[in-house]
Amino acid sequence: MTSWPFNTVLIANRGEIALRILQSVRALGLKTAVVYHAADRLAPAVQQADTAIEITGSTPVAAYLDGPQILQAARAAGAGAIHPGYGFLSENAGFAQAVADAGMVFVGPTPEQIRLMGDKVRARAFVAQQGFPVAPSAIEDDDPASFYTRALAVGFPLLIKPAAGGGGKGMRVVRAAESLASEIERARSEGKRYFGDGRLYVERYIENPRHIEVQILGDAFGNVVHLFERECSVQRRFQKIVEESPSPALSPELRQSICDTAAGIARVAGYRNAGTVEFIFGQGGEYYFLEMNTRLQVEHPVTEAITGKDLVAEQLRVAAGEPLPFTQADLHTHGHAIEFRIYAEDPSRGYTPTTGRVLALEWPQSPGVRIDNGITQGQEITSAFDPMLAKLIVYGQTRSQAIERAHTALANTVILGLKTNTGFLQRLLHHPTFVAGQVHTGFLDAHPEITAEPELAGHDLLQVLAVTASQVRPLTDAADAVPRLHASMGNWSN
Amino acid sequence: MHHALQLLGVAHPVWLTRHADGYQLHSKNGALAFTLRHLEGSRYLFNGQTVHMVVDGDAVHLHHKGETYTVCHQHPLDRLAQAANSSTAMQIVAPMPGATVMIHVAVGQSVKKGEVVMVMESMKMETSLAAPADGIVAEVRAVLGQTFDRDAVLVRFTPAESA
Repeated sequence: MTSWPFNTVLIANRGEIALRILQSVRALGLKTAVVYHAADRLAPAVQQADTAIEITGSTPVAAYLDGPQILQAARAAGAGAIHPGYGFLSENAGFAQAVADAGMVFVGPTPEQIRLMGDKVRARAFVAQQGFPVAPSAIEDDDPASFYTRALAVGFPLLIKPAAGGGGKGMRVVRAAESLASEIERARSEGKRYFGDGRLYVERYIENPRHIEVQILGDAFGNVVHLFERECSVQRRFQKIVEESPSPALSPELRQSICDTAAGIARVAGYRNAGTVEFIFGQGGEYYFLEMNTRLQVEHPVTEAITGKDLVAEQLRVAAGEPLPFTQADLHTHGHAIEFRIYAEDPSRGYTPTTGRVLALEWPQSPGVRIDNGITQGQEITSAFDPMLAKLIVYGQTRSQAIERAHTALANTVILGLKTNTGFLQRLLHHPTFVAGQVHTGFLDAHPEITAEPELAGHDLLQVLAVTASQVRPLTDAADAVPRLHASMGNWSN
Repeated sequence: MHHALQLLGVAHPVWLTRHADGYQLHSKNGALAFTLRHLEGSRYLFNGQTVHMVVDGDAVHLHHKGETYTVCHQHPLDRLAQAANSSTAMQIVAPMPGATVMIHVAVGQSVKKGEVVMVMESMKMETSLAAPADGIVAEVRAVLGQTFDRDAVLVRFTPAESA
């Protein structure tokens, strides 16, 4: 039994994750406090917390990024610990330090660990130096004179990126040595044009890769375990929308290898807290370190579903200075879990966010279904925040049972008042490529037909028109005004 | 001209008659007799099936067989007015919620088809919005720095030939 060095935990986040953290904090017998911007006043976590403190900002997002204001709220709430959730301040080393300086516990890694893993270049260099696999690459700046030779040594296909780049601009795939020199020149002139900087960076290009990540837990005593992998290859706009575990791509040997690699990386970093090591996984089974996220991940529930562990509770125990209560040998998986992110967005219009008031809200109540929800009926969904509304997690004994249960659960998810992606998720679920588990990160881009709204015709169209017509007063009034006998004679028309 | 229900971008002229305990829908796609009973909250019993529905002004939001639809009622007079105006209606409508970052035109200015008229920001990305055809700027509703919802009319034009 943990004797807690803190009684109240302040949750410095919003939406579904604030509520999800709140539930674990409360289950451990601790008091809960949340900060909230006025736009989130009706949110479930704000309604359910023992203490809710309003914060302000020039924009709603700015309020949740305002470390000093959140620390002040934590003091006012008598909090001894702050859980940052994901996003916002969760990977901000300065905030983690400020929490410690204020005499509170940051539920996360040390500021040094955030700094090391938060800097992608440093993290990658560290991981490579420790002997773990990173994609072969060459940085021009390291030694401009030998750049061409080093680029050749990376192997083909390779990707040339502007060193100052971002957003995919100026990137070029090169498939053969003959064109390397000319493509380097083209990329350089594009880099100059877009970023005013012609320096380049080259890395091995993985065709149709999967995104596979491994859940890690480490304590302050150097114990590190992994909680197996998550397959997160179904992405749109470089953001995950469906995650599952186990990955359909891994043999038992590959699973062991990738999970051991992830645990090894966390171990050499002396990592404390829950974390995720992300890999890029090629069609030939090769995998390379991509980055490490030093926080709770959005998709952590799939891991909880198949391991039976509560990751937030483990984070809190580790933060309280407890050793991990289990070893690697104690951890096993059972069944299959899939998470669907429910977004206020319109997939048929390029996944653009939608806004509106939640006029009706009903969640499915079927076996194997978990809902991590952040919204409430009556709440206004604005463009001020990320459009993720909730997560639907389904568990099955097998992957096909999980898919079957997901179908029922998504069909029975009722959100009225604004467009969401639930219809799209049902179409995605039945796509033969997804059913076969053959997805890669370019899957949705390669299949835009999944985003198209199905044509409504025949009996379904008549049903939709009939139900809605019954709610239009001028239509019912006109019908009611006609004497029954006359109407029953038929052939009547206005 | 009939009342119409706007669904997925298509206007469906419809009317109702009484039928037994309920109504019968009449449309170009056929007729359907139905009964509808309110259960509780957003739940209704439609010909024995549960559906969810909420009315919000002229819009009816419906959840039916796992899909969600928003159907808008169009009054016959509005439809007549629209039909009369449709040949001159030329405007830029917000493709997504966002904020106005730049406005390149003023009222009275003539623009060419494809010319960038304004720049909006959404999802941390800037998007240029271009004139849909040659024309004259009739009204600029977008305000620099202010946010708007999807489908908001941002700029209206009169076509070049009528100017």
